[in-house]
Order: sequence, then C-alpha cells, then structure tokens
Amino acid sequence: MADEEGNGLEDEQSFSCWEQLLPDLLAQILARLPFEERFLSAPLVCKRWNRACKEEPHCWTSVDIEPWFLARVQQDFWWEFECDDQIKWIIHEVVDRSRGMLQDLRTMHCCDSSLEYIAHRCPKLVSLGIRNSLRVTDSSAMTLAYKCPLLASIDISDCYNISSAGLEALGRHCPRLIRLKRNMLRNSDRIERNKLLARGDDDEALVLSRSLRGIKHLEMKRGELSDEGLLHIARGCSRLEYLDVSLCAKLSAKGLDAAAGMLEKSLKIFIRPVLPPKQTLPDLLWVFFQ
Amino acid sequence: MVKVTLKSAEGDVFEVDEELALESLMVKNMIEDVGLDSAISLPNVSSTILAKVIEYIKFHMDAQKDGSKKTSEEIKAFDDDFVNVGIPTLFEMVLASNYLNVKSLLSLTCNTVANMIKTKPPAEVKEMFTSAKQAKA
Repeated sequence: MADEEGNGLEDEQSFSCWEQLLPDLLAQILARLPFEERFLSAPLVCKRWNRACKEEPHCWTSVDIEPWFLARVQQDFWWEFECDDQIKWIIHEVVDRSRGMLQDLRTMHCCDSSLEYIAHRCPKLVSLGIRNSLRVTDSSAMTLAYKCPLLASIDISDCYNISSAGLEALGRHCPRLIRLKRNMLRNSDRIERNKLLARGDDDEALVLSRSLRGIKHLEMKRGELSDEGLLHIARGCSRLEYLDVSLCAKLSAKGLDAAAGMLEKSLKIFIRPVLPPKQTLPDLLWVFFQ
Repeated sequence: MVKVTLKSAEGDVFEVDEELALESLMVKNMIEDVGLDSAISLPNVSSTILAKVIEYIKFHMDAQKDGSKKTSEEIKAFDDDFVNVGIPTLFEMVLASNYLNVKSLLSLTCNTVANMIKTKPPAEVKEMFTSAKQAKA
C-alpha cells in the first residue's frame, strides 16, 4: 500500500512536471512542430500551451507556411490567387506573435503591405521565401532591404513585379545575402502579360553582377537570360558555388562553357539547360532542293 | 587527466573527465567560478538521469574524435535508442539538458517530444501526457 502510494506520488510529480514545464522550454518544443500544428492544434491542448503559443516569441522564430497552404489548395480546393486575405492575416499574426524574433519565414502569395509589415517589425530576419507573390513590388522589396540587413537567403521566385531595381536594393543593403532564388516557373497564362515587369533577363543579370558579388547560391530557372547575361554573372559573382540556369531557352552551349570556365575555381554544382540537338531545318532544305 | 566530481540530487557522486564535464556549459561556468577542488552539486538532476546524460556526452565525444569508426548511421541509431524511453524519463531529460545546458541533447530531446506530438489531435496529446500518469498509478 505504502509502495503504491509512493509510486502515485512520484507519477503525480512527473505529470505535474509536464504542466509546470518552463514556458521557454515548452516554446523550444513547440517551435519544432510544423506551422499548422503550432498555429491551430497545439493551443487547444491546455491553457498553458495556449498561452505559450500566443505569448512566447521563441515559438515563432522559424515559420514555414507553405506546406500548410499547399495542402489547403490541394485538399480544400482553395483557389490560390484568391487567398491573399487569409495569407495576409496569418502573416500579421505570426509577425505579431514573434515580437521581432522572426528569423526564418516561408510563405506564398505575399502582398506589398504584408512585406512592409514584416520588414518594419522583424529586423532579425535571416531567411525569407515569398514564392509566387505577384503583388509584391519594388517599393516593399526596397523597404525590406533597408530594414532587414541580416538577410542571408531570399526566395523571390515568380515575383514578377520585383524588378532589377528591387534586386539592386537587396544587393546593396544586405551584405550577407548569399542565396538568391529567382526562378520564373509559373505558366503565365493566368497572369496578365502586360503587367509583368521582371523576366529574369540580362538586365537582372547585370544588376546581380554589380551588387551581389558575394553570392554563393543562385537559381534562375526559366529566365530569359542570354549568353551575355550569363557572362556578366560569371564575371561579377566570382564566389558562386551553386548555379542553376535550367530551362533558360536562350542560352547556348558556347556561353555555358565560357561561364563554367570563368567560375571554375568556386563552382561546385552547375545545372545547365537541356539544349535541343543541332538539326538542319527540313523546310529550308526543301527550298534548297527546289 | 583532471577529474571533476559531480554530485546528483540523491547525493551520489560521479567522477568524470574534465573534458567531458565541460560539454555542459552550466558545469563549465561552475568550474570557472568555484574551481575543481570541491564536488559540484547538481540538486536538480537525479542519479539515473545524470548517468544517462554522461553516457550521451561520452558517446558523442568518442564519435567526434579522430579515428573513431562510428558512422552517422550508428550515431543516429544510438540517439534513437537513447531517447526511446518513457515520457516521464524523457521529460526529466529535457529538464536536465536545459539545466545543464547541453545544447545537442536539448535539441535531441525536444525534437523527440515534438515528433511525439506531431500529427496528433489536441485531445490525444493531452491524453498522452495524462495516460503517462495513469499507466503507472
């Protein structure tokens, strides 16, 4: 009997320990959960967890909204171009909860006002991913560059309204920037063509080569980059370790080889576009024979 | 090799190499303040947990040494095995690693707890921690 009681007491203690878990320790655990669970289900477990999720900034240093959002698009049939309000609300909530501690954020369909909200409140931001954010323009990208000088990695793939001016500001004001993803993979049939400012073309390459000299990881898939632009990059960004220019249709084998030669010392991975095999055009031959 | 004496909550004494003890930032600070002469008492860590923590640090120090033949799979297997304990023990390890300030162990244990919670609805999470209490009682 005495033994049982002893055991019971011990368990009582060990359980109440879970409850008494220091808030910062609880935050350490909660911070390791995927965004969805941290945001939606962990607060429902008990009052303490609820409070920790809402009031512990350390829970929110690293947030990846993307998998959750993609699941909504797939499973709940959200039409992704009409989710701006939801995304905006979530971003504001996350930024508020992190109280300036946010270091790593990945999202999609961000807009100008959200990006400025992030820029003004999260000076410690190190890594930011805003794929597919058609409504982000140069003005907020510049604010971001001024306000978050610690940025080391940024993903602005398919942000067609961030032009070379935005890129230049990022390069100038974020000296630690070493990873840039600028893939233009979106099928543009859903996007109004005349509104597109950026295409991943030679202008951008020139800006990159001038202002982002320390960059190590660069992705420019499916851009309208030509041999000239690639050479600019090879000349200016001599520390490149990873370069991905797959699906860039304008590049030729000669230009690719020249760039690879110039970056020989640093480049570890170079992903080239698959070039069509050389062939004589049948139409031309036909004319010739006639 | 200089030895450091650690005293657990129950008063059991553990003698470990200084190098090993320094892995814990908390003990490191204590040594800097108090010196090596007296035993360092750790009133918040029980003997069983302290033994486990020492075992963990020892394994990882050996694995990091040059010439050790341990592969990353072996290390992972050790880690998995190490945290494959009941919830109460795991909890005490979280607390101890936080108190002793051993970063790698803290992240390992926190990850384990987070993985246990992952994909479970809130009610089940709550039950998981409550049932740990009831199972023994």
